[in-house]
Amino acid sequence: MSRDFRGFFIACDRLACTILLLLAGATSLFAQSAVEAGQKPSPATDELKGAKKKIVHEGIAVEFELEPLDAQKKKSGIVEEGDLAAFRFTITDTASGTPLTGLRPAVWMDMRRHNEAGDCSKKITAFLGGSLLARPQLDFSAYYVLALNSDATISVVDPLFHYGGTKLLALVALKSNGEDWTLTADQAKLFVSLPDANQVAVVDSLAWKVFASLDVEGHPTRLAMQPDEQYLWVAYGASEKDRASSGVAVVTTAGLKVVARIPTGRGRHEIAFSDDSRLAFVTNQDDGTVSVISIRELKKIKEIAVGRKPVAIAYSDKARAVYVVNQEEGTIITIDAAEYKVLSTIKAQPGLGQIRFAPGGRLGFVANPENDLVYILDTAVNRIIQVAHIKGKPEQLTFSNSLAYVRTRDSEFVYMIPLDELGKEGQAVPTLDFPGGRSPLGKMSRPSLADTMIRLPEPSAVLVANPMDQTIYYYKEGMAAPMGNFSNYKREPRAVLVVDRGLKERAPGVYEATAQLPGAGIQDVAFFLDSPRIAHCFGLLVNENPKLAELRKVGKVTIETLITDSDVQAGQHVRVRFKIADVETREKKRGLSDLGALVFLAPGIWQTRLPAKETDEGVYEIAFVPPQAGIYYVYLESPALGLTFKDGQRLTFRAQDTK
Amino acid sequence: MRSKLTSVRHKKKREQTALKGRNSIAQGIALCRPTPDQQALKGRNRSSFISPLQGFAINLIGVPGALRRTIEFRPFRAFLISSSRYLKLLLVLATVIIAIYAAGGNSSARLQSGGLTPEQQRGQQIYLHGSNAAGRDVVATTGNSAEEMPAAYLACASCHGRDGAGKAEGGITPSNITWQALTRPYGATSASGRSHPAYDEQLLKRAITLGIDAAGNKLHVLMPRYRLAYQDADDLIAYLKVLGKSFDPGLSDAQIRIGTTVINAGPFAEMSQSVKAVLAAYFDLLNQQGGVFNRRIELQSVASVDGPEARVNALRTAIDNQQMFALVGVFMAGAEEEFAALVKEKAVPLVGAFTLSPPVGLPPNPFAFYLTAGLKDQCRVLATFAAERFPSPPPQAAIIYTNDLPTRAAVQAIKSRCAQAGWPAVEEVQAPAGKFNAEAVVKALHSHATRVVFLLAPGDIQEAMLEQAEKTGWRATYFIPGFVAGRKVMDITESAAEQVFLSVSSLPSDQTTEALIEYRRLAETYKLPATHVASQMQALAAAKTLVEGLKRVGREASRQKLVEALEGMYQFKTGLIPPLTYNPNRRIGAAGAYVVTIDKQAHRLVPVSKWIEPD
Repeated sequence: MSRDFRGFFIACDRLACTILLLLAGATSLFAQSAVEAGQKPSPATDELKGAKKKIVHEGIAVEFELEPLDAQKKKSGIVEEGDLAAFRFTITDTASGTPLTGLRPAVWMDMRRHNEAGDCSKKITAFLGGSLLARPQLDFSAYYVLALNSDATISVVDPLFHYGGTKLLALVALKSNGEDWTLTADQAKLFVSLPDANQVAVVDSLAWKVFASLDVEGHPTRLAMQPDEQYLWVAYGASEKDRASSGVAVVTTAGLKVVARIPTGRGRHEIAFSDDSRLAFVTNQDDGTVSVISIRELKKIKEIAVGRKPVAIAYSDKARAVYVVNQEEGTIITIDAAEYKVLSTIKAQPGLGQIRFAPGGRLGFVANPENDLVYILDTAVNRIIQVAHIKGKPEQLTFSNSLAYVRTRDSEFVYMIPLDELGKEGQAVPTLDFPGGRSPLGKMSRPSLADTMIRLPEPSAVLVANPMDQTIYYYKEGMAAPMGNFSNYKREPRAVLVVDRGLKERAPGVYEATAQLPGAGIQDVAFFLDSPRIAHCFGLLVNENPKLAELRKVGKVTIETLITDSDVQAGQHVRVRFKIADVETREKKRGLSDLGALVFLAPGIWQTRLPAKETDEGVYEIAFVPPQAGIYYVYLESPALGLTFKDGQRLTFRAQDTK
Repeated sequence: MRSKLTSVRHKKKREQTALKGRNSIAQGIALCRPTPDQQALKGRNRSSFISPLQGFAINLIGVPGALRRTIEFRPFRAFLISSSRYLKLLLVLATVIIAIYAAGGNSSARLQSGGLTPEQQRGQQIYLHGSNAAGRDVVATTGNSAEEMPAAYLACASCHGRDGAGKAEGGITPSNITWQALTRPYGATSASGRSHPAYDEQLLKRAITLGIDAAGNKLHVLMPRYRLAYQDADDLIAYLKVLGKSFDPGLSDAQIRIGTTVINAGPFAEMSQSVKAVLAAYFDLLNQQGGVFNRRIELQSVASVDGPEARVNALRTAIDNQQMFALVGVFMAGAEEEFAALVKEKAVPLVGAFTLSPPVGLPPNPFAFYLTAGLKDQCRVLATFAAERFPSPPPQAAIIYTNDLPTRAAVQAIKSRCAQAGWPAVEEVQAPAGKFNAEAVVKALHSHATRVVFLLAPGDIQEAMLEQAEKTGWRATYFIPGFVAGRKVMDITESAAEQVFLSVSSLPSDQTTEALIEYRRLAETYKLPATHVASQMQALAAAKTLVEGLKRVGREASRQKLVEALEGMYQFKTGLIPPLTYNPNRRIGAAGAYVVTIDKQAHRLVPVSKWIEPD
């Protein structure tokens, strides 16, 4: 099974906890694990000793090393729950010592149960098979989907398309609505422009928290990362009131400092870079100009008049030229990136919009929403060679290796143009399409500059957000309709982005990913390689973090469920009883008047909060009607006990359809 | 360049083997190196004949009606190559093939140094080949070993690329070492997250020689430490400052100069002129429409009198004196080896050449790209087809060929294919031109119960054979490569026609209406000669292939990139000939043929096979 496919089967056993966490406004994602596992770190066995662990299987050696990012912890060699750590696997051929490169190992991490010493092939099989009831605590073969919502939040979703379910990992609160966003190539930092807050928020993609806010006066909008990622470019001063000062701010991605503010001209700005990160090209919509900025000097070196209302810009590395789209004139201006002079003017019809280049940089696509057209220009000959007619105001473009995707504004359809078929001048352009929901795809309460359609890390698949449907659709090439979708938790997704969590080859044969360690205890780091076939669990001792343990200590109780048969019927009354006792003294906890329960149906599509009634000494009961078949989770809370939803205790049962 | 490396590598083969197995560092280094070239094959006989049957096939079978009048083919336009000792060779102006054999030894093809200063040129030599101009070996150490190795194994370009951009390989991403990237004021951050400030000349020398980066960090263990002499270090730095910019001859901001050959007198003059005319027309139209990536294509015709030697010399002088980025549609027939050696020596990419002898071997000439198969490959196609047609019992077969023809390779190809099919030994019948005794040959074959005859002899011998067979009532099946098929073949009787199979390297179905209309427009606009249309189409196909290569390369062009772009072509359709596919070991784009038979009633050729490609 390929890693891409496995990408769908993503950790779910923590689904409930996480949603609860969010509902409870909790901040720490991983704080609750020790309680859930009910397991203290046992004395280290031989298997757990040493910083590096190595296995050899049929002439292939796999060495596992966990390296805390914190320098002090690295020295001590002791890892604790909640630590950020690099999981590193070095795979070599034992005979020659040659590193094995280009592999795609799958790795998960999960708490080792008492009966699971040694052999973990069953565990790996379960993870590979994507069993809903056997979810790992960490999954390194997954990607997360981010949605930029209209309520000043970003939802971080673990998609489970094959189940029609998802897991909301986090909801990042922003100071105001985000306008545009961009991710660093290592997927570590997410920058979000917040025009209303005059800031750019920097989100940590491991903790899913805003960890820095950069002040950029003048309502920052468009964000653009230069190819070498040294600087992030922030356009400001797009609106009428900012006319006096309008330009681009330059931010160091490492230090997160605004190192320059370069006034360029009036109006909205779009930004493009030469592929060697030498030049930035910034459009000034109201002035009808393009400012050429030397990135070395962070200085404007030339101003080029391009025409009326330049609305889009893109750089073609094949042509070593910048293409600027003038909306009102319907022209595309080519600017030579070596000498910053206008090379040619390509005429099209007024009403132009976005310009993007297909992979390879030779064919450029220019949308014309006003006339329902998409122009295809060949940079080799610098002219429009073909025109696609696409109904519903084609607006946004994205590409896979074989297709161009065109998202329309006024219809729910996404159109696809096979790139192979292009290049014959004057020929009709064949198109395919699929529906991306019910509502027009471009309709939203507050349009964002960022894309609502994005290519996935796996080949030949895209995600399309439908803001009005509050749904994100997953489309795989070759299908007539999306293969899956998930609701964005009743939020309007104005843009969508994907964060790849897979292992990356950092050096020959060295595969690495970074994650926050979940619970304390003996963890199994499950390693699977398809070819050559290797399946192994590395034992890992994760120590309890005293601080986190202290936080958990309050209200430490055991909860014992008293239903013997956990299968119940949907639509019928269910009584759930549980006994609560002190974890140390085993003393029953009587007379809890504030004990409440939260019940929800995975993946969070229905929930209810109920007070619990004491029916016997230390035995409490809740009663409710499960509305439909599915997996239900019950969480308890009692302020008096210090028990909160985020403590991770959970009862699970399954409701079945009435036979 | 490659063969330079090869020769060094062969010299040091034992050392290399020892190095390889030793440790992972050595393996990593080996990863970056170009794949070892194979030893050059021995040269073989040159070949030089061309025949018009393919043009004939195109004409007869089915050019769309509207076009037929314009594209009027003149079948059976035969020429005698009087200047060569190969007499009575038919000329089809259809095929573009080159035979290239590495002359063996030291035919190093080096990049032309264009506008580089002498210092930069010396630096380029170190960068590309790991050797300095004085011929002294540059040495380097790798990893933690103190052992010195010739830098020729570890040339900078092997890992950082000819353009210095550094392409990821085996999980390693060699740094971008263009001057622009090295001297960024804010330094650079590598994939591993390590950063360093900007380099200057001193720091860069330190990095190359001691392996310490601008921040004082140790460079990656796979980066060798080069022991450079003072002068070598200066030369290398001088070149690094211009690294990434193309200095290939014939390329400027505004234009690309492409060369072709023209013959002023002799039997090929008329054909050569019409080829030149179509090339000039095509490039002119292209320029009117804006050229390729804002460069005009300037066609440079290299004129000479007929004669292989004269043609080669004229081209050599032209390459030396006039800057030419690439060559197209060169008339190579009769001097294949010389032409091939020339383009390799001068490192000039060549797309499409007029010749019949494509004995393409390994290692392929890195700079030569041919369009269609030659005699040998067509014979293999015929033998493959024959083997299918006579599955069992295996027939007695014979090959009739003239020693005048450069057909030894073709004869061998047929014999080995027939042997594979389990046929009895194929009889070889030499038929010296002018002294062919058809009566005796037919009698002998008849008595041997021969049922299959491969006819690799000129038209008059074919004619004599067919006539004699008809007379004596002996019936055999004839397989004739289209290149040598004479006009009389078409005049045979209906019953005999059923027994004749011909190979052709393209069919009208390979031609698209758009491409034919494009040709017709060119012909009308530029008043192209109405003769040698098939040759014109071959030349046009070659020009279109070259232009497609340039389009794939992009604005930042170089000869090396053009070669790589051409090598990456898969099923590229010119609309005039079968689709072209190249790769580093495949130098004939359409390396196969169709088998056709003669429809006497309709007076046309009818395909009886699909496209067959010899393995």
